Amino acid sequence: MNTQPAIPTLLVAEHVTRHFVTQRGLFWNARRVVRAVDDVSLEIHAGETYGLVGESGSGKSTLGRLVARIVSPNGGRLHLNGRDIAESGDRHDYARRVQMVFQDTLGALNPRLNIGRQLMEVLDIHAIGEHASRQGRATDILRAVGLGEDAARRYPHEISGGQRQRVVIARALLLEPSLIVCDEPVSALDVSVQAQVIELLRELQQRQNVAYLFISHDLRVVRQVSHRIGVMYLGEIVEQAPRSALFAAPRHPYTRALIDAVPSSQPGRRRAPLALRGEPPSPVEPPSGCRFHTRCAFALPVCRNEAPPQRLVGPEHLVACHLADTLDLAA
Amino acid sequence: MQERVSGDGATIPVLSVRDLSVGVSGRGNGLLPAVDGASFDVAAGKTLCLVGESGCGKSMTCLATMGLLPPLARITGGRILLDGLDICRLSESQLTKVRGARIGIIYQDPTTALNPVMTIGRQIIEALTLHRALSGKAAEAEAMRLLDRVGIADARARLRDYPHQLSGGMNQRVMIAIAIACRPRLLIADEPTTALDVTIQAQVLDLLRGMQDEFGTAMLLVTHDLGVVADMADDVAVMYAGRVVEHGAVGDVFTSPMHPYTEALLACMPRIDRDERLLSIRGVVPSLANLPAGCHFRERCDYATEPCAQARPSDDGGGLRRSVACFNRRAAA
Repeated sequence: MNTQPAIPTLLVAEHVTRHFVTQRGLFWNARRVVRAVDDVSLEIHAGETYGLVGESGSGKSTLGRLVARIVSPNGGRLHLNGRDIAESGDRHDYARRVQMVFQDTLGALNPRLNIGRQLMEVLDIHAIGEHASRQGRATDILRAVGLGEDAARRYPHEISGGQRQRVVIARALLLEPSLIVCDEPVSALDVSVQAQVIELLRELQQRQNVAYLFISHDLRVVRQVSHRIGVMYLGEIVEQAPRSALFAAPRHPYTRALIDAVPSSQPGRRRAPLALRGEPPSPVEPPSGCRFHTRCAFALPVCRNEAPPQRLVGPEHLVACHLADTLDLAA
Repeated sequence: MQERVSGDGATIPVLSVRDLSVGVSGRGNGLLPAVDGASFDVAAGKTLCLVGESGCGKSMTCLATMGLLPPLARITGGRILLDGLDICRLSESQLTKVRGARIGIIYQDPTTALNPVMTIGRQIIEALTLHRALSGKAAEAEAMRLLDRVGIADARARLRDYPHQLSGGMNQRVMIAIAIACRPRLLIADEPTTALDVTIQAQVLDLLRGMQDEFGTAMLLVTHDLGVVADMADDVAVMYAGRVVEHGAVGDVFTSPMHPYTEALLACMPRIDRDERLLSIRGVVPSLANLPAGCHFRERCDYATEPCAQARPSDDGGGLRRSVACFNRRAAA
């Protein structure tokens, strides 16, 4: 360690696994196990944003739900502030420390309560403050997310998607959590509004030192908000690094492919045709060895047979690839 | 309005839209202007992107071009010329022949656009039978060739699959196979990759570009993603509250946007190659029932002046090479 004071670790996930059992077929029950999250370890520090990227089905949302304690792990442990979350109070208490923000804001809000009532309800449930002071608190939080007092009297369907996401963020903030799991919070929003919500999240983080687990399929957004980034593929984190290292010098071929797939943003510098072929295989029967080998342009026989261990290749830079030392993937 | 000249002056564009207006019936408000005097051209082998926030009239413009406006909407003015033929004047049965044969269509959500109770083979063969008079073995062989062309492995087996057995990306490839089945002159794609993962998006965009190079198809591409625009467009038309506010070659528009709205949109685009802070545009697109007087963008504009509240800026008549509808246009860099 260097001489800088260590930033306290807020959340630790150790070898966390979550499998789901699905039943398929009309007349017979074929039990299949989906390995949504498979032996994932990560740390989130206080006040930082940890970005989680990957294709659909990579398990990033399930990992977010595990962290928010909406689902519980089949294996491994999660610690918050050094305490095992399974042994530290119930879900109700946990909600005061870890909150969640979803993509679908209409689904996340109660259509039959006005915004003010929904915010008050949170304070009622958690018995925070005197009843009389709660209204003031709800108004304050609305102002903090850039909404006027009159928003309290509106119903979810009466306001725009961007405003609704502000309400959902306000509701998450009411309990002053130390971590908010944001699952695709800006994916349903127009680019103009997306920028507003990203800036709001950043501003709130500076003011309240809240940490985010920021889940998104959009690498451009993740680059904007994250301090560190984890790349998921078929239930595993294949690469994890500080933002600048990940984009300047990715060490996993899958990370390189994800970056290459992003539209160029500069006309005249057309993106080269993507080298990555096909779609992710089913997480029900993930490929042997390295799960990415079926789509990897560099795969060797060893990749088919042996799962690559995670190795440290730079400061806070972990990668699980047999070829990490031989490939030069920097742009 | 002056007659506009296409890119190289000589060739007739595949699609030529002139002063197109579309009205939507609102609750007791009469007709609301969903599209208001839009003009643009798409030449063979070229791509025009329509961009703007939700509710700016991009999809309505597309639907009008396909002759597929919903019941409450109708064309209230202007012309839509496909190879010189005004499709607004066609009867429904004539239109049906044009669609599919000369216009290929790709929607955002392939799983709802495809028929769930028909195998994808039958859906492709249906297009070939209706528009290319192929049948039996010949149609099946052509369907297999098309699936192969759009990058679907094991085409023979896939012909017997139903849409629900395929992934979203695969279904979008099937949609593209149907859209190009008749080698259309014009391809209209409304947010074709918005529902797909970024990796599959890249594959589908590569595929569309390959098709275009091969067949010289003109493409009208609607997207809200400026990255996709930068990647795909030759020309771009920026729409705001039903009007085309800026139009030009994609390089010009991106490097020196002249309309404040274009400038603002570009500033809020997150980029993969930069960490810079994002700017945003305050407020939201005004509702059609409640459009502000003067310039519709005025209330969100940093450069608005007195004249902007008085009158609506009209297109500066720069033609299809570059045009801007703004009193305070930004100087070209």
